[in-house]
Amino acid sequence: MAYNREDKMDSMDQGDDKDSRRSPSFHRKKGCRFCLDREFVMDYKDVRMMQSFISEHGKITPRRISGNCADHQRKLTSAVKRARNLALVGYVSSGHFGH
Amino acid sequence: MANQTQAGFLPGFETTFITRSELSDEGLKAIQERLNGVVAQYGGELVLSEDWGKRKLAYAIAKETRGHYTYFVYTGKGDVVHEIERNLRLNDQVLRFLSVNLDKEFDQESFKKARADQQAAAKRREEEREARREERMAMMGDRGDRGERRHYAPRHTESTETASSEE
Repeated sequence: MAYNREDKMDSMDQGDDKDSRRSPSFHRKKGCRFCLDREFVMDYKDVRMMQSFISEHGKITPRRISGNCADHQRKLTSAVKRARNLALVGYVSSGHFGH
Repeated sequence: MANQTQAGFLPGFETTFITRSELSDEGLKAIQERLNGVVAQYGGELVLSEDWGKRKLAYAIAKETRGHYTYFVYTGKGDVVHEIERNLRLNDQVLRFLSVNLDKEFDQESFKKARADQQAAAKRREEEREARREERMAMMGDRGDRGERRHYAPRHTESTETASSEE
């Protein structure tokens, strides 16, 4: 989530002089981050890695938004579910519904 | 299943368990030694053991909001996981555990190397993230004429701080 927000802020900063980029159908070309960066390894123990694929309500980001390939999305799903079991990542929002 | 494996390479497993945060260091050590005994009994060996320290749990388990995480990797034949999990289940200081089957023919050296590489990469990413954040904060500080945007900055740091404290 934090990752997306950073992107948004960047585009806000740059977009002032380029109107075409602010059109409603604006979208960034997505790629599977696990395929692009070999060092970005799937692991249920790496909370930081998973947080970038989890919404603020604790849901797993769908593939159409995260841009992951099918193989890595499947692995991500099982990684997140393992982490949930170990209370590294919540099942529901960590804010209002937890505890 | 255990009989089919090649000589030299035993199956490898990893287990993470969470103990109550008030459990003393001696208590935790006793659990670890007991598990090491089980691993030795089943003809395996302890590959690596990591102490993640006390962390805030994402949700309460048995009314506990904090827990002490211990992670260890070991080899062993067939029923070793069953025995390890039975021992963990018997101890009521253990809140939760998770075992993962790593490989049928487990290569210890390459695993250790991969784990070290992975941790180094994660650390590097963390540093890069930190640097980017500082850069952005500096940039925002420069543009004093656009005051109304400044409120983004503290809100952002606050959210990241809470995220890191949960780890």
